[in-house]
Amino acid sequence: MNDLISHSAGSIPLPVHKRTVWLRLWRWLAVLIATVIAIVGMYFGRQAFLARHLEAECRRLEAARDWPRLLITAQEWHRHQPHRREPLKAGVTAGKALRQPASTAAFLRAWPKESADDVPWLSMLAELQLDLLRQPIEGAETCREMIRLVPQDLSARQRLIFFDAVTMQPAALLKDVRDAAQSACDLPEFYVYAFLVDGLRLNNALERLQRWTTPTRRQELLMVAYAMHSARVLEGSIPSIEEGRATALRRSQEQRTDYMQQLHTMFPENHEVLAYDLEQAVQAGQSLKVAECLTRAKPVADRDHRFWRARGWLLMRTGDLAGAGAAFREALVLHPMDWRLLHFQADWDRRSGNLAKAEVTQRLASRGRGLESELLAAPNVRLIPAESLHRLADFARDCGDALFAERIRHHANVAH
Amino acid sequence: MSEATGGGCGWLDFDRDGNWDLYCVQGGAVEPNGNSFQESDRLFRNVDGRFVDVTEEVCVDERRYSQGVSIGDFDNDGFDDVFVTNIGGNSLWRNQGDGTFRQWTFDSEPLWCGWSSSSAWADIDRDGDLDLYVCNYVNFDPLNPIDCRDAAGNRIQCQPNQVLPVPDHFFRNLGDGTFREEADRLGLRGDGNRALGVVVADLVGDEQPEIYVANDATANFLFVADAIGHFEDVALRQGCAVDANGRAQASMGISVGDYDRNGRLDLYLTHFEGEWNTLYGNFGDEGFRDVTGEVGGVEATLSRVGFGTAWQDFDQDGSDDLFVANGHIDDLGRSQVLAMSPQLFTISQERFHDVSENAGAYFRQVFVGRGCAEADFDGDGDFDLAVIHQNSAAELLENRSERGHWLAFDFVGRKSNRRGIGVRMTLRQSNTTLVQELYGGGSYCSSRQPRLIFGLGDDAAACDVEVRWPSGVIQVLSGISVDQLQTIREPLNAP
Repeated sequence: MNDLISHSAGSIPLPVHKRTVWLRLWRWLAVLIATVIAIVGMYFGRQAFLARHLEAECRRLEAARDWPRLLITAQEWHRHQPHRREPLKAGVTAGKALRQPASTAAFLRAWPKESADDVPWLSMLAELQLDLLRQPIEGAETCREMIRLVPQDLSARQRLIFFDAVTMQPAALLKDVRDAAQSACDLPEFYVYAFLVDGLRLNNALERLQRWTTPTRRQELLMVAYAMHSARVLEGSIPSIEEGRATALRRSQEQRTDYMQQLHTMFPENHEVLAYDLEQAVQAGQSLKVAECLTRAKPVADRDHRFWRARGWLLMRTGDLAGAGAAFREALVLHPMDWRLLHFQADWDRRSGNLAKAEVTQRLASRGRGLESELLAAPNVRLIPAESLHRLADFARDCGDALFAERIRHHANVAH
Repeated sequence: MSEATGGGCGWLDFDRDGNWDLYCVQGGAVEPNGNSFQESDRLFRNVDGRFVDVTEEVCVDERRYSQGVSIGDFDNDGFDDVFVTNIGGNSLWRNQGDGTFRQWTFDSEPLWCGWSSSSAWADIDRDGDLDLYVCNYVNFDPLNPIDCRDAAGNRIQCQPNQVLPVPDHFFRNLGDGTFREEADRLGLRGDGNRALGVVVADLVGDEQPEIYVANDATANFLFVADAIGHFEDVALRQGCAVDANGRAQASMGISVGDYDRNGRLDLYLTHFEGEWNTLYGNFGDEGFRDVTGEVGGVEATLSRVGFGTAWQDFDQDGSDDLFVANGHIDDLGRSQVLAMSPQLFTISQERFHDVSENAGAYFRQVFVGRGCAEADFDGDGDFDLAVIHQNSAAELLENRSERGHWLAFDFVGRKSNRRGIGVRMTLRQSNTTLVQELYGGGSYCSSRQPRLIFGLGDDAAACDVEVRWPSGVIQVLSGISVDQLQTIREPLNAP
């Protein structure tokens, strides 16, 4: 036998004791693998069993309207099957039935964000975050996810743009409105917000911000927005006869100063606070202050038309017409319907010796200024008359914003 | 609403005794024909520095609710006439040359019964006599006031934008004692006309008179005439319609000077609280620009409501000064802001400096200031001031500054209007060139003495002057010694 083996191998024959060792090893390995397979199989079998059990239990609990136990069971089921939507759905059902928005939101937050089918659930989450849960920043993020999945989701865009407006984020607002316009998924109010972005006063913003700002979550964004809206509401308030215009103006000025002083103390590096200072300095013609504000600007300012506008203004003051022109062009790209910028641009035209062009630009700026007053006087941004929308469309067209012009015109025609 | 805006004063030498007399308007009844129980406007004769009320003697009987006055010798007879703007019908009082006045009717024109404010005499058609531009404020009938309410439905004092605008008037002097209203025909129309102030001067360097109108809360107008005398509002083109932030301000008074000594006339406008008084620098081919921030003039005026303003080198140190009469318009007795202190600024090296604290006791008090007008009423070679206040007496401010050298000029037009309104004078002394114009209108509802006074500081060198008359005649005078008043007559034989 040994001879046979050695001859058939035709090479160096293994010693007998070594072959025995190898055979034993192979046997043990086979047993081990079989054991592992069996354990894994049992595990998955048990998991499947458990899942089936939990699923069945959830169905039973749901049918029995036993919401507290359904909530717990759904959590367990989700732990067992984290990628399945059914346990989340069960949890959401229980959370809603129990009127526990936090629990509901916890399931919704775990909802996969993969397809258009997921959007209704994300919408539910956004609604909770923007309302009952007072988590507007998270709510806005959820809206962005929804828009990513379904660019035609008007409700998500509406919520997001309202959030941008209430929280006074001009750059985000302009970007989101343009994105909505490009998707032709828009409402006329989007363009009103965009046009009024530098002087927006929303009737319900203070109330909304007050709701959002909780004692435990005093986010910088919300607090700054609250102060800014307060300042603007004061600015636009009509005094009563008892008070008199003079007193009202003075009170308004004092209160605005107070708000801003508080903000400066609390958030000295805040972009919006800096933008406010910048605007005030430009309005008062304070070149040094404008320069100082611009040096403090963070990279985010490169996407903010107000900073480019101020930069252009400052460069014009220093006689750098070329630099000013370039800065104005940057600003116009970000916000083509900026009448304040057009006003500076008219000054730029004059300094360039082009009075005829200055007149055209200045007239356009004045039209914009008039439109701003007209729109600010409207009782509700959703009740802007068609005539005003047509004027806004004309203005957008004359500012060279063909996309906005076309979309606003579309809505104006629908309103008619 | 109508109680808030008046009144003004005007300097005239009605009896040609060389002393400058003062006409002060008076509030009163708002009925179109006045009310005999109301006080008339007053004319004070300057008797060697004392002012004597001669209203009755000179037969002035102006009992309507007066707002402003402008003085001009419309018939070129050498005697100053008086135009009074009222609520409920304006009046022209012709100086008959015998120490009395007679109310003059605008023959062919229907009586304007609205609310006029400032007015300006100027030879706008260059025919040698003075035409009249009249600012009209808003369409508001004090006898039947409109009901203004806030968003909550509470009654409030009407704000300018709650009341309809009305167009201004331009009365062309036909040279035979009659006038014809031609504002429409000449294109003197602009949107949102709520005019409170006006000046007529060569503002764009075309050797023609332009009309600059200050509107309350709407864009200001700059009317420039073309070759055939048709006007166009170019304020937006020129950059003097709205402030540096593109906003129409609540403009009231206007004064004219040359803050940067570039030989072009700049505009200074007074405004409401929360808005600064605006300096529009004139940069020739580059138009105008709100340079208030650049000259440091923003902060000092934000808390005031400015009305009358006078731009002169009061202390004759070679740096121009600006007087502003301040006073709020609405206060219902619950706050202390109705009365405000007046202000005096000096413009040095193209920067504004508030020098009110050192300008005298008057500047440390508070008034409800309205119109003001400058005149050398004591004949000492510097400009003094008359300031009209609401709720308190008018004030005469005698200029007792430590002064530099000076040169003053009166004018006698022969081809041009008699007082030389519209004369532009360029004065050269050593290395300095100063430009002034005897512009029409100015300040607020008031009329200054038609005299140019140049402050020369320490330089006592003789001066050369070039006079450009409204007729186009250029007159050059050389080697004029300083510290004197010169009367310049327009040559008849010049080209």
